[in-house]
Amino acid sequence: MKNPRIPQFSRRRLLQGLGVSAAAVPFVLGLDSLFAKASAQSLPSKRFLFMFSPYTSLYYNARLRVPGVDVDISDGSALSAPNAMLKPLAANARHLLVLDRLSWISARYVYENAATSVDGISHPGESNGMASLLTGQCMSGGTNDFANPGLANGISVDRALAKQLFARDPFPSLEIGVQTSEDLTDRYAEKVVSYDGPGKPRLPINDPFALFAQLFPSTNDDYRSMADKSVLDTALQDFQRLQPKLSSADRQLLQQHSDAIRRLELQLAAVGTCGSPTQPSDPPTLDITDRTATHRWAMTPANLPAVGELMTNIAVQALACGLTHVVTMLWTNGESNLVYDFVPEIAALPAPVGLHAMTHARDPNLLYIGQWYAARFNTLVEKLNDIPDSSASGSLLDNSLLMWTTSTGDSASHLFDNVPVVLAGSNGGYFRTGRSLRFNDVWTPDEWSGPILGPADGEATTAAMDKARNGDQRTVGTPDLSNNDLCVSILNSFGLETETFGDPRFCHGALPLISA
Amino acid sequence: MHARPLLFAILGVCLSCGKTSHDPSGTSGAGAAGTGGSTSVAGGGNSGSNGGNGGNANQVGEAGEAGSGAVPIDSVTVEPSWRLTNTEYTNSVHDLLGVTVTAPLDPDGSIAGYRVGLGAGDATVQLYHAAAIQVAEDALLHDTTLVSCTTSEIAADNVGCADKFISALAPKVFRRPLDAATKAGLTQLYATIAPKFGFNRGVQAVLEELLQSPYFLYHLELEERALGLGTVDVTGYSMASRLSYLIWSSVPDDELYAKAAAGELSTPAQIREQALRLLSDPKAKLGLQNFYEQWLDVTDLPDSKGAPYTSFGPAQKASVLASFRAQADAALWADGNGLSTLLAGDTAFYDANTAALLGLQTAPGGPLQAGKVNAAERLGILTHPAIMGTFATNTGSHPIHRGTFIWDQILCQPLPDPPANVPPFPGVPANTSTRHAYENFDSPASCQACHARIDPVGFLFENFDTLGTYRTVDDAAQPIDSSANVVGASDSTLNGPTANAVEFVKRLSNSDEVSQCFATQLFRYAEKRLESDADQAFLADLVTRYAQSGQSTKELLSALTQSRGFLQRINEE
Repeated sequence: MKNPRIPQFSRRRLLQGLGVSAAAVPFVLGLDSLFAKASAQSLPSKRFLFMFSPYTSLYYNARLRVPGVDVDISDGSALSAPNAMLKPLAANARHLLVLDRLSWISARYVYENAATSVDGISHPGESNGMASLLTGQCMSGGTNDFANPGLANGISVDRALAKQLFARDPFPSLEIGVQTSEDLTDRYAEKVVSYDGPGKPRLPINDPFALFAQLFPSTNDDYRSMADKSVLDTALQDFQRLQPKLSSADRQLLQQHSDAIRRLELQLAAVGTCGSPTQPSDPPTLDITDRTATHRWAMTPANLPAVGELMTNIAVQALACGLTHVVTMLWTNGESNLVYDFVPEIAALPAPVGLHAMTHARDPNLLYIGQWYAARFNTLVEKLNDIPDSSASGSLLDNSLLMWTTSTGDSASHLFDNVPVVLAGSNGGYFRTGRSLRFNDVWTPDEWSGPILGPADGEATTAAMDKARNGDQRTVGTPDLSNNDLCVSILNSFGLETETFGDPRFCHGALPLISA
Repeated sequence: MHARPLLFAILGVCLSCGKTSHDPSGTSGAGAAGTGGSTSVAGGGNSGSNGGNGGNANQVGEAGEAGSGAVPIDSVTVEPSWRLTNTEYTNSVHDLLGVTVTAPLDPDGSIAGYRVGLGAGDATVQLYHAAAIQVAEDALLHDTTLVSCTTSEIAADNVGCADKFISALAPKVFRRPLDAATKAGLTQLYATIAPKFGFNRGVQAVLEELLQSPYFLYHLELEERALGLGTVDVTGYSMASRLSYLIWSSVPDDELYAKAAAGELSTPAQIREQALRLLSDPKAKLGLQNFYEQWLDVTDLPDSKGAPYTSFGPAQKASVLASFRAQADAALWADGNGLSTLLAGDTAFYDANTAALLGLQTAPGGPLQAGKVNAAERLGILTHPAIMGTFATNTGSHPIHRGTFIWDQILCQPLPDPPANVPPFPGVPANTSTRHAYENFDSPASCQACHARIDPVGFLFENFDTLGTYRTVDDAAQPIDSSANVVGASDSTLNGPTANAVEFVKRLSNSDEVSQCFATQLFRYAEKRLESDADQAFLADLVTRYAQSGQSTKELLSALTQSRGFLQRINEE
């Protein structure tokens, strides 16, 4: 009786068209499986908040001076060492995961092997690190000059999360800039980290007042809140009246639908009460409804700390209200030459120079700018830790992954090796926190047991620079792990099962030791 | 990732064999699942007996029984209340309200290779909610005909005007008359909103509700459910919806609704007559597109390609798909020879974005125009850039995907999935042809069990790069060898040494096997299940009639409306 024409169905055909929410279909036989989509696990209430700051600290200040590849730093002492860039984060060390000796290998590759990278042409130096950062891709396109340097050759991890998990959010992702240069005629790629695909950057918004208006449009829309409740109640009555007319299988099917409507009602009510968002305070003499004026104010260098504080508050509120689960926040841009004279130690210098000039000179005073950014990251950590998570247990921080890093490991020589990375929050218990991880053993405990490097400890500045130039900072160790690998771990922490991300040549799978 | 397909393989078979009306005991479905599914197809043993166990199953019984009567019959299976697919939702909203759905919707599920609306989860419901707001705002902003009252009439009697709005629109959205309780709910909703926010907001809320109501979102067939358990005929409003969603992927129009109301969708002949009317309406094009874009798998054509093909982008993709649809439409809606023209016709449709891809003179800017392709290089839809570009890597051809596609979709002879331990393809080394790299990769004997069939078919298409442009050297500058020895096709006329894709598609266009596969694919799409043994006689008859009609799409689709699966349903407790 068996008819040979009845095919065994191939995987490709059957998986085609199944959405993410069908991915959790249980292994149940029979017609009931049809209804499994309805009971598919709801999306994870986890969040990704990425903070970029321009290259600010020499490696010997950025790394933690602890022995071993996997060290408990939860008491904060390792962060409190002299000249430690992470000192402002010491009190929250139990929430941190400090990563050492990761490299932006795709950026290194373009820089050193342009001929065999994606398109065979070279791309201007530091842009490579920015383009690689969240994509794990080489640059492509452009004409190898500063006006048209090319862009990353693939999607970034923040947008991968937004598309695959959070497309239903009012804002699947937010791209925030704090004085990120808007001059796209010069080195475009160092002003963006977020990509929808090859050559498809997403530029950040620099005006906090414009962003606020976009996120919280006239929050007194009484019609919307009343209509949502009444409309969904009426629809639920329709479902209710249908029930007795249906077969038991269909009753179950429609019950799951109406249960989801009830959950939506609760969620909409919760968003309505997630707190009246705090309108950004008015800087003196600024008309906050005048977009030309607010934009000019936001881009004025002296206002950087104030703008950053507003953006930090808006990002935290958007996450707390469930408006988004994915935020990238760029403080300036890869090659910003801002003078940080609002940092006391820099203001005290006889002739403060711009950041980019400092990095090329490997100026030891970079430490103070690095510490200033560590304090900004610490503010994010603390704010999220102070807010209980309404959709899960613990605080928002417990169910989030915060990440802070930069574009280069040593910008004076355009190296993309050993870039400092600080994570915070376990993302729902996925990441081990309170740890320092070192992914290869190039710098052994013996090497650093001598005098601590850095000008405040009396070592000649030139010796420190030589150390950075010739020593461990430049050395690529074994294994040579990449930001691609970190992106795989990030995706896995959100429940997305994958073993590769970005350009597969530079990916080795999820990072070791990182997961609980 | 690797365990799941088995589930669906089993599920697919279960759907096709689960309690059919041939199987009064209702146990064969469980038996099939328990024994591993794919080799055990219950129901077939009873093929030919009309097992309809309800007093209403007279429509098809009159037509005769398989093996003894004129028209062989197929099986009827228990089906869930299907939710609208996203295409059905979007088309319905457009036809009801003149509004384009721009809000995203939760991805559809898939059964038997075609998209279906399965159960709704949180994401589904949230996206429906957002879409309802978008649609209601757009509809009431742009379309003044939705509200029949004038401003002064509204001022004089807003409740009366809202009642008119509800009475006119709700039955169309729900595709059946409005019952008193449901109407009372809508009236109450208006009465809650309007006093505070005005008439416009009141009717907006009503419209938002209509779009989130189960009466809109599900194919409920309530009148037939009321007929009692067992196999019953589908007529009236439910049949109107079956017809319009099969042929248009959208709601019934006023005439079809009127036929339902008048009880004139009760006999197979009446149903066929309306099917033919619907098939003559321009909306049938959109409906058939919904089928063939899934059958030919072009819904995943990427938005961009890698270097050196980075000039390909969304605008060119849109042109490629428009060209693809124009070519398919021209073939399938012609008076005859639909499938053979589709597979081996020499007419292509091109604009400035697609001319070079198709090897045609650059067209001036403007709409698509028809032209003859170089028949020595390319012929038919299978060599079209939409398909070649879909079954390709980011930068090169992908012979395995191309071969698998032909076996799965065109020949209905799918091959098993690769075992889980297959290493990823390492890429094409320098100075090596794509073909040679794949031949090396697939050379182990364990691979050859399947790849001896897959790869030759894929190699025939090596003349087409990742964009579907014709070429004589590949991406590594190696000369193309597109000749291959096709083996394993159950239609032996397809087997044997073949020079290239052009020769192969000509053979495909003359193959009865391919014609049968086409009809089978349409059957799967229409019935939302795999065919079973009990359907084979019906399918064979369908293919015969398709051939006798000179390959008329209208004949094929109208014949599908005469199947038992289409004319009847099974009511369960």
